Amino acid sequence: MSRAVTTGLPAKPPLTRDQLRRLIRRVEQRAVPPPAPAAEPAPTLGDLFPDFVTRETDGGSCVYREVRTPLDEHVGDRTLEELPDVRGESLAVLAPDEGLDAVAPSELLYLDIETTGLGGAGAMAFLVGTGRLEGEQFVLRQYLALSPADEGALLDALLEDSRFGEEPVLVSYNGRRFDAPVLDERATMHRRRAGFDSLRQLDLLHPMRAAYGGLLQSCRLAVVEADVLGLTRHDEDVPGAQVPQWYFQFLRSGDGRHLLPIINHNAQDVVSLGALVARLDAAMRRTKLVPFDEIAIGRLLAHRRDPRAVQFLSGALDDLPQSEVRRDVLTRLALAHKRAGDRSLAEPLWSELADVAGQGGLRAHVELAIYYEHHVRDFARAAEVVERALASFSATVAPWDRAAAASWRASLQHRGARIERRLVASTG
Amino acid sequence: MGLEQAIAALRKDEAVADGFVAWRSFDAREPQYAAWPSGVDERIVGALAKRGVSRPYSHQAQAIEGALAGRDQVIVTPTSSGKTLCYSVPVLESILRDPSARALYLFPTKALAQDQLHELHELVTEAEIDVKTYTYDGDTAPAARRSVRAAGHVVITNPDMLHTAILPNHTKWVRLFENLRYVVLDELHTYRGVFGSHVANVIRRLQRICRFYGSDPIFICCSATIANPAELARDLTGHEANLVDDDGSPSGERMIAMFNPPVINPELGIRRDLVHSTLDIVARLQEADVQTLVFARTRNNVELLTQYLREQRWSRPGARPEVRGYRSGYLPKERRAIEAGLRDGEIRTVVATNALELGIDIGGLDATVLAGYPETLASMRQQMGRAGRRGDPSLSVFVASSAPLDQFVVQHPEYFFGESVEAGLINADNPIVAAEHLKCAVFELPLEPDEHEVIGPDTETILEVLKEDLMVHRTPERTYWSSEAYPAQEISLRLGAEQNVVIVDQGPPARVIGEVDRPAAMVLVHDEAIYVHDGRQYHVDVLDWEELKAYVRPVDVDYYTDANIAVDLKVLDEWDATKRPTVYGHGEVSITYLATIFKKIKLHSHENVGWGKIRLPQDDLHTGAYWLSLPHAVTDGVSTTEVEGALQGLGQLLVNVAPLLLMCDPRDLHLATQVKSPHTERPTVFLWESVPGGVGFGQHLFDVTAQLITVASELVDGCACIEGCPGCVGPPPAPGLGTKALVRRALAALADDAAAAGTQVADVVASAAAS
Repeated sequence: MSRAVTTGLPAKPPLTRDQLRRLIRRVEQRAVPPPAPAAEPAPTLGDLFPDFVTRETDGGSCVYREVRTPLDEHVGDRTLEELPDVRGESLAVLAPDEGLDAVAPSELLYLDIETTGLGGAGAMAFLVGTGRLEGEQFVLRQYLALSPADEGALLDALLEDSRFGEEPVLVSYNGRRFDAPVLDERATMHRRRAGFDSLRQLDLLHPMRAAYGGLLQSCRLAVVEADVLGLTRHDEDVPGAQVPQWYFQFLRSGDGRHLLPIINHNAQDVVSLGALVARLDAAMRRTKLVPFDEIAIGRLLAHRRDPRAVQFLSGALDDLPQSEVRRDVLTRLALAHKRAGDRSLAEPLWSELADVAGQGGLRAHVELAIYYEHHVRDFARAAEVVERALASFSATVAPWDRAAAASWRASLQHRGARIERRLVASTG
Repeated sequence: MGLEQAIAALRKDEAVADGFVAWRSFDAREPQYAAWPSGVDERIVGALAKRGVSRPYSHQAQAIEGALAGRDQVIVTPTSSGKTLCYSVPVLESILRDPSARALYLFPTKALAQDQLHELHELVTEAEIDVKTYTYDGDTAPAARRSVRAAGHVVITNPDMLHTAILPNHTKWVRLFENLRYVVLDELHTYRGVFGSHVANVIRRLQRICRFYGSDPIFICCSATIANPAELARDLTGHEANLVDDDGSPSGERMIAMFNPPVINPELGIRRDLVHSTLDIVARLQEADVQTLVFARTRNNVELLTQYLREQRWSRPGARPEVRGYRSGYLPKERRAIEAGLRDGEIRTVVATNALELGIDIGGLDATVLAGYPETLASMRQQMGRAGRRGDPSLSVFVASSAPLDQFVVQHPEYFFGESVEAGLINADNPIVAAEHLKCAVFELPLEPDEHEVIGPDTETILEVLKEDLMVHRTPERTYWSSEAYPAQEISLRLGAEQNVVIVDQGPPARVIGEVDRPAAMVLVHDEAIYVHDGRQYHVDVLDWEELKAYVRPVDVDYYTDANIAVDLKVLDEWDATKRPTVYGHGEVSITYLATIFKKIKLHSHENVGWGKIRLPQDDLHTGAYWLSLPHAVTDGVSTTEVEGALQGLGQLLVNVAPLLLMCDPRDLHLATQVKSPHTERPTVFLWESVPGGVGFGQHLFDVTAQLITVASELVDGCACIEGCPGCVGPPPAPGLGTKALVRRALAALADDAAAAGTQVADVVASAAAS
């Protein structure tokens, strides 16, 4: 009855290299791609971008370029000429909690990074673009790692140029969640301390969502560039999701054409951030204001409960035809009036909205009923509104879920009954 | 009435007394105390004193002192001997000395992590010290994660979370890794086999990250009794640990009894069935108000015993104390309530599966009764170890079923009393497991050339393959991850994905009463099944296999159902094979589970009163397997019954030996035998892997076939049993079949065969390598 034979086992012969290979291969189950056919020598990065120069740091070397753009150069349908006029006051509307009221345009550091993945220690930052207003020029700086080994030097060069001592304000698109913490974590990987995430930040994604959300197909930067700034992208552009693949291909082949679209894309995004800040500030100052931006700024101000929202939203309403957008503006403007205590100004807006089927129309009915009952104290009109709501109700009940319908009906009936009592009391 | 009287009654009561084949008593042991090691903070000492611990047991003092002195510890003492203190004291002490210090606790399950969180919270609150403890697992709210990462002194998590979430994002955990002083690995014995091999690699990765941040944590491991705790700790952590196994906690007198149900049909040799025999004993303990935990092997038996115990005649005054079932499938809330009821003594009788075995704090009980042999001696000891409150006497009874293993154990009590328990084996260098974790390691930090050896012997080769597969980028200095993939996400440390079927009582109001995993659902909640939950019957109206929901309604019927599952093995792909002339091979197989019919079985009498068909699709598992067929020399001129016996015996022997060669856990391998295999056309033994996809055991066994035969021969030659035992060819299915002799003949033939074909094998390997 001996059971345990833990000792005296002969050692297992080690697997041969080829056995091991086959074993692992079976798990990976990936076909080995055939080696690329030898073609004519591919252009290197230097062939395509002669302006990139090597930057040596304690951590090794990376490549770097500086592109100085005069402010009268076009970015989409505008230039950057408004950029030096940007006021801290506008920036504070865009990012209220960052203490930006007194920030000068030259303190803004625009930032956009390209990485080899979305998260985790294995995704590196291989290209960082920054932008800064320097005198009469917008200065774009790009830092590129030609190999994963160069990332440390890239960060060194970036940190050297970023002048943290002057406490710049980081301007980004989703940088609060992505670019800033990623750079700090990459610095940790290279035993460096960065501190991007501790800077004041103007992350444009959130104000852009508040301003343009629902007006654009999406609030991705590429869409904003096309539909707000009026930029047209080149055919060679690379979709964001494919950026890592293109970089890996460059790593293996050394073919600069894999980097070309990524570098251009990154440069464009940095400049676009500048153009966007200039445009939003100008719109808030009502300079060169187009109706589309007027709606958007009105929505943003309303979102911030800024009384100036009324001016933008009512201005936008003038030429706005019947549409989803008009109803949206009506709703927000009515709310802004109500908040300001100007219910009489909201009344015609609610009346217009009340004609629309659906829950939006019902809500407008309720607002009107409240207005007539509690503020005008015209119980007869209030009763009429509730009656109309209950009548329109049966026509529009179908698309909603039954629970919501039941709750609406109950609340309307309750309100109607109370108004009826008050009506009787007041007349009797 | 107390335990002593209950024991006396069991020994006297004619109805059961004859069934007890062994009574063994173990003396009470006095507690061995020691002084607190010097320098333990008074606030900790004071808080413990308020909680009733005025001074430590000797083993606690030894572990605490060793850990504070900076040496790794592995503590192996019985359940409720105060293991937690062995690590919580040094951890809290180190944090009091340096508030930046951090500790990481790893538990195999979320429930155990929660237990530990509460215990530590109480101690910290009592001591009025500022130590922040958090659990970090799938349930941690995203908003809370940031504060856990930044401020948690003690982070309590599991190996899976460490693997998929913490290590790959180590740059978010700088505070933890820079200041990590202690890593606690509790329930060490669960980290064995393939799971353990994965965990060992996760720990290698953890240590690598710690080196990067300049920390070098001390490992404190705690284990239930296994044969090789120090070795397992070393294999998992790479460190030699100080073994603490001299238990200083008191124990009362322990009585262990073995019960073989009486023969009720001498002509056919049929014994009284397991459920009723267990009931005979537990009912008597219940009458004597002995708090008892019954371990049953199947969920069905848990429910039957629960139900029957509730129906037992109750002769004492007052209402019958509560009887509860406990098994996987009960909702966590329900389980926590039962655990609490056991702890405070409210619940007097619980019938559980081994779901209750693992580390869950239920305090000590008066008695445990094991309805059937729980597969390993280690489990048997752990389950019995649940009996015995500090210093009080306790009773454990093993009730044997008529299965050969149970009968062997009950007829050879020395097998349990004498032998050491199983060893926990792992092979951290398993090439497939290592390759998976090497990917994660490169993802986490670029690999330096001087790390190759540290990470594993096959590192260089694996890196070459990963490079060819475009997963890594190699420069002369380092290897970098160069893929968008997040490798940890694709690697599961445990068997397969957990997919549960939710059981819904249709009400009204409808409510979820439990969950069962997919394989169990086929048996328990198919259409028309009677699902029993905590002793209550439910009829399954519909099992929605797509939505993984079973709709049930309460019923009261006089039967329960039991389903048959047909398990079938089919060779899908043969990766290597040789005929010497015996056939050996390995490759990919599919294991199909198909629920075919269910039986309706009358309660109490257990008569078969009907049956029905189960209409469910089959479940498939694709995995690796090794196979070998019986040589003609053994099968020619031998009856089919004898061939079947020999095949089963050889299979049992190989499945006993193979884990030793593979350094895996017995549960990682399964045995299948086919008297005429469609693939080899011979009587064939298959050893297949539990892990979906396998980790290369098939190829490994194929490569060492000669060695497998040699070790198996040594084992069977050295085994003193006559006709077979669990340690060699398995207990004989019937006496006089000569199975053991036949297996020995088979082994001799296989050995000759292997020797003769030695050169041929070399040729095959060489040609395969060349191709």
